[in-house]
Amino acid sequence: MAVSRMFKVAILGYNPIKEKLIDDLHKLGIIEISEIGREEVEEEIIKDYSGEIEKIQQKLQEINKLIDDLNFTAEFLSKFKQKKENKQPKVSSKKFQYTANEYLKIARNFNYNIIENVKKFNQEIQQINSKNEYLRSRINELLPWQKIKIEFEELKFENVKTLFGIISAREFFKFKKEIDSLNLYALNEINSTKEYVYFALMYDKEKEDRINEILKCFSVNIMDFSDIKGTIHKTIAFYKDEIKKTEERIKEIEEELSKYVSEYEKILVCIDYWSTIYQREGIKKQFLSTETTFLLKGWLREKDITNLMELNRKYKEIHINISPPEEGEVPPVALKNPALISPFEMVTKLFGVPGKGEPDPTPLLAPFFALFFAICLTDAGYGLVLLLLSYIILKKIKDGEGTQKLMKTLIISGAVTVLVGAITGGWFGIDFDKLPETFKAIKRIRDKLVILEPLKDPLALFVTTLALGVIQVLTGIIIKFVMLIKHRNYYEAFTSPFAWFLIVTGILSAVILKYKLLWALPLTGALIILIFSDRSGNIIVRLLKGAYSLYGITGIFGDVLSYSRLFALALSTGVIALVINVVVGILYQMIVSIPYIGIPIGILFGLIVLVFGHIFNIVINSLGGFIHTTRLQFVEYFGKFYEGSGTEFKPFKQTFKYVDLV
Amino acid sequence: MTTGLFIAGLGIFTSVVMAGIGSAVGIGLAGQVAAGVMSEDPKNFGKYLMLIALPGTQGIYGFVIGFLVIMKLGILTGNLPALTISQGLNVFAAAAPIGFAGLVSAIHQGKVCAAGIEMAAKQPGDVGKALVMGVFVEFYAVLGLLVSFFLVWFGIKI
Repeated sequence: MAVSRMFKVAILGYNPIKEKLIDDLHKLGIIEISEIGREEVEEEIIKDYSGEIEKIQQKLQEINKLIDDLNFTAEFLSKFKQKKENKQPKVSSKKFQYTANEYLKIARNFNYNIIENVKKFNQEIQQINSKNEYLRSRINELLPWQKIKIEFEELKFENVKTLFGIISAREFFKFKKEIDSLNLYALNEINSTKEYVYFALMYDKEKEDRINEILKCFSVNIMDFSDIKGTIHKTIAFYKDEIKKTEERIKEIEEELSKYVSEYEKILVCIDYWSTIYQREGIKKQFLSTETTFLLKGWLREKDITNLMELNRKYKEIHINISPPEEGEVPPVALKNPALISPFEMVTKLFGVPGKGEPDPTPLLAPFFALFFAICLTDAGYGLVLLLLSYIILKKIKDGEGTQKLMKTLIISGAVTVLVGAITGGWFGIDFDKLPETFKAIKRIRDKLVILEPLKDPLALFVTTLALGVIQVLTGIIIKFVMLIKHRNYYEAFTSPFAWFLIVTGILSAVILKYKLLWALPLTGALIILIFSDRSGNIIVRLLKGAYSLYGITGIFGDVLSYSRLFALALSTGVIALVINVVVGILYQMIVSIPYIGIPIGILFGLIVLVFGHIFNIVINSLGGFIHTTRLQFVEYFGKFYEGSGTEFKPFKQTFKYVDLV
Repeated sequence: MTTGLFIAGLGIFTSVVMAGIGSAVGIGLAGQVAAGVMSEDPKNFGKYLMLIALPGTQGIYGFVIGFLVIMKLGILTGNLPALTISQGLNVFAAAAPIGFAGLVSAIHQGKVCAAGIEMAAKQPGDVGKALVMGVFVEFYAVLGLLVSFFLVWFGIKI
């Protein structure tokens, strides 16, 4: 089996060492700690326990807030740095490398006042900015009124009111006529543009009602000058001065902030530090605690038992109990495969890890996956490029288990692609028949390897892909058969997968060998399904249900046809590779005819198009090949025998976002 | 140029342009959703990229058939073949399946992928499932490609 054997583990311990033990378990990262169900616990203890949980909850909230603040500070500083240095942010997935001691020292000695200061500065900057924005727009409003040279304090009279307003130029003449008819002191045009007239109106307080009536008939924008001290001009100068002062303050703040920029890395380290503390606190919720003791339960892989027993030697105050799972208990699933197959666990995990009684499908799908992917490309050159690129990326990116597995999958699949490409004669889509005489030797070697050329004999490749489909579908049926036998479900094993196997192989052999007696095989299979597929009910219901099951033959037919997609993808990769070469050839011919500079430019231009074209083709078709191959595994193959209803083993371990402990 | 060659040209047009339109619309649908989702969470660009690129294959299939027809007719050698009308119709019928299958399947695949991107935004672990759903739609374009290919490869005699 390619699934690790799991053991139940329970640790009972004395409270004072709880923190230290959690820390050790966190660093070891070998136990998946599961929650202790309340039904397992006596009433009295639960009371104790719920109080504990509230305390933990509160602590978690505090830590969470701190992490949020740290994140905010980090983001703020990184934006600030960007603005200062006027650089595009560099997306680097590189982690900081520290030893465990350095890491703890940084996190513990970090000056947490920085967070408060940054928050304070951020608030101040925002306040200043919004105030300045207001002042700037106010200045713009006041500018047209600068011609009023009087101080506004002088405008306060006992019986006379002054009103400032803006009216559209079109209406102004009519407005003026209306006002003049009232025999007022004055209507003054202070400023005017093409669209608007800025006016001042002085009037007797007694006439206020009348004025208001007129104002209602026109759309007049009445100015509020209550903030003016002295003349308009003076006020504008005052505001400008204010803005200048705040800008100086911002400069001061930025000066302060730039001192903190160097702390950026440390803040990220702190985020990781507090995140691990958060994980450690959070796990306590799953413990059972009394005043003096605690209990935790979980799952452990067989190979880690010795590691855990080390802890038993280190702490005298704990008792560790390890036992195999009981009947009816379903342990989490950890996949275990040899190095060549384990990268393909990625595909399995995408679908779901095996549930109870299911085998790990990874070794069963790995060879198919690599081969199908290779067929989608069918170009040895492309396989080489893919292999090399994936290898380089694998060496560059150290972290991220998922990416690593993906790259390893691509390396293996790339290697298979080289083989498949060699036997189909695909090398960067080069048409070897058109190569000049000098390359005859290369052509001879290439021809020796070729078994099947897709573009010369497409039908052969088409049939090959369908044959591969038959093989995979049959493999799926056989696996189902073996699974059922293992579970001692002989009845179903022989009435379902075995019968289907007879039908599929029988029809194929009868058709291929053209030997009529062979038709007995599928007929037997069909009869088995018709009669035995349903055990209950009377004979008519049974036959009807059997007939319905037999209808599943169309499904198998469809499954096999589905593998024709491999042919289609192989073809489109090959043809596009050819197209790129042909287009470059035509371009080169066109450019070379230019006198003098033709040849170097032609070669340069041709090379660029050639390289980019083929890289594009590799990327697009690797993507397509990967997805389609995955689908074939999930739908056509897994559909025969696999549900993937298990839960993945997720040990309690330290995970870092920014730090790489060395 | 003969009328037959013109009709054959229409066949190339059908496969390349119809499938191309389908892919363009499909990628457009998925791309818009991806841009919207990324405005909130810019981190998962790589994951979305696969879903955006998926409806692009139909256009490529259409182009493959178009190119095969061009090759088959010997247009690349510079000599225009004198096709009869029935030969032209023959070419048209051969190239048409991928054009139509590509047009419709790419648009619908775009919709499935757009929904898949929304799903992936909320459940980043489920990108694989979203991709597999998209591939279901693709299969019918693959069938169109197969039929067109066999018709072009074996069905055109000039």
